[in-house]
Amino acid sequence: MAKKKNKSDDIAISVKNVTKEFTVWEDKSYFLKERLGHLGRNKKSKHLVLDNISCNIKKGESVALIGVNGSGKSTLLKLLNKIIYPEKGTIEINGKVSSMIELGAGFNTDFTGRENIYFNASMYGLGKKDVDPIIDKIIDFSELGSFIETPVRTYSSGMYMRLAFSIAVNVQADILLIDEILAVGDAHFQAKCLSKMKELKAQGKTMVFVSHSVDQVKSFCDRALWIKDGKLKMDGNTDTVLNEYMKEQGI
Amino acid sequence: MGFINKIKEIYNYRHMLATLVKQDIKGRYKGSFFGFLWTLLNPLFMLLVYAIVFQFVFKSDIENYPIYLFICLMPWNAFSNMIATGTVCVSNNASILKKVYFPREVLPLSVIISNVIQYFFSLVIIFIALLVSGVGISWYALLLPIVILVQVVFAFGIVLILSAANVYVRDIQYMMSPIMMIWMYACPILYSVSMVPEKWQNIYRLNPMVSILEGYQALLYNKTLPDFKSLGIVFAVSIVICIIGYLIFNKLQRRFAEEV
Repeated sequence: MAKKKNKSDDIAISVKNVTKEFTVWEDKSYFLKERLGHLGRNKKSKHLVLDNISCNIKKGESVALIGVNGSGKSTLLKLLNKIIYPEKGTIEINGKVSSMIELGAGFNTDFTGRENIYFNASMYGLGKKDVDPIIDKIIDFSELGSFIETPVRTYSSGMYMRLAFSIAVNVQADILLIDEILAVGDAHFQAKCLSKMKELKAQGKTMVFVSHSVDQVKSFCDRALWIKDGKLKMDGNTDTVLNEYMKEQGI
Repeated sequence: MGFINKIKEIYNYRHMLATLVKQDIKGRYKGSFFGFLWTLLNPLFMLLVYAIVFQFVFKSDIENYPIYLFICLMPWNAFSNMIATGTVCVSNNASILKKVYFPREVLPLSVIISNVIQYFFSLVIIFIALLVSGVGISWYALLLPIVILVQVVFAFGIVLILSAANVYVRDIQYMMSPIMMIWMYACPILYSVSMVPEKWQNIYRLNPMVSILEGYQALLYNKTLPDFKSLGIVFAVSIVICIIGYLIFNKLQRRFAEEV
């Protein structure tokens, strides 16, 4: 599949032959004594999480990653976010990434919601001057009200997620990586998130979305990647892939 | 990624750096009544204790001994704080490392910057002590930024290595406390370099902190020019340590999110 050079401008995410292995320690230790004690004994094993994955995601596409627990979806999302690195293969990202991985985006829990908005936005390269005009929008969206002035450690997991999501969708990123965050919010907020994501999609943002909710995937994504045992089992139109996936799951 | 690109990337994350520094300084005294004032109160109390103990209890041959001691103890404390907080700066930030991408060098950089800022405030106490004790301040004090720069670059290089290594081997953070104590006694803080036997001088001077602390003593206590040659050598060594530190950090940072 030879592509012309100018075509690469349309590609938001390009994954080539990516392989990721985790080393599994039977009894992981951070301490030197135990590390030395383990030398020679074969207490570690390799676990192949992703096996030679390749795919291109075009700008403006909304792609769902589906697969059973432990299939490697979240690992792929983390690789795309450059939080972890592949053993083999390359990943190229075109554009600014904002992400919602494993709930919450690394808040400093001793600081208030408002302070954490500035902190979190700074990790997306936004300074105080950039945040000031949008902070009311973020707070409104999160529906945290006066809780925005209390330390994040007092938040419930739903509140935490709402704040994280509000920031992630408001920092003007080109690419959004979203990992099953909608499971936490209540029905009202879930609906609100989905409509916000549709709005961003209409604006031409690229989205990669991990979800176990068939309805969400169907209503939102044009394309689905099915990952099974670390391999890309199927890549195509959402309905086709979901049908095959559900057939295998026996649903 | 090349070094120049790394610098550019860190520049793009300057807001994060600034926020981390602010958080560190604000967070350190969060919930305390005097807040940031503690940065000044701590050395002030220390100075008072030393002044009383060495004026009335122990007598030293060194003139104005409490001031002599204080001039090097403050920079040493700043250095020691940089190393201690720097060593754990990556391993203690697991929550953000696992969730957000950012150039990981931002973490050690922010620790160094926030320590330098606090150090500047504590320098005020040194100046007050110099004036009150009658030792006085000379124009040579204007050269202090040179000595501080050498010290900070040296500390940054060490922090790059230790912060990355500590993610993999946590022993390092526990090892640092005895090492820093031994290191302190290997420095001319409580005594002067001239008290070290002649035959040990060459080995003694291999410790880069000796030249740095002598720099402080020259500028503030003896009121002379520092030994630029030895400071220059230490600066060159510090740059080399920084380069090695950067390479090690860069190599190890790929697995930070998996290891923390």
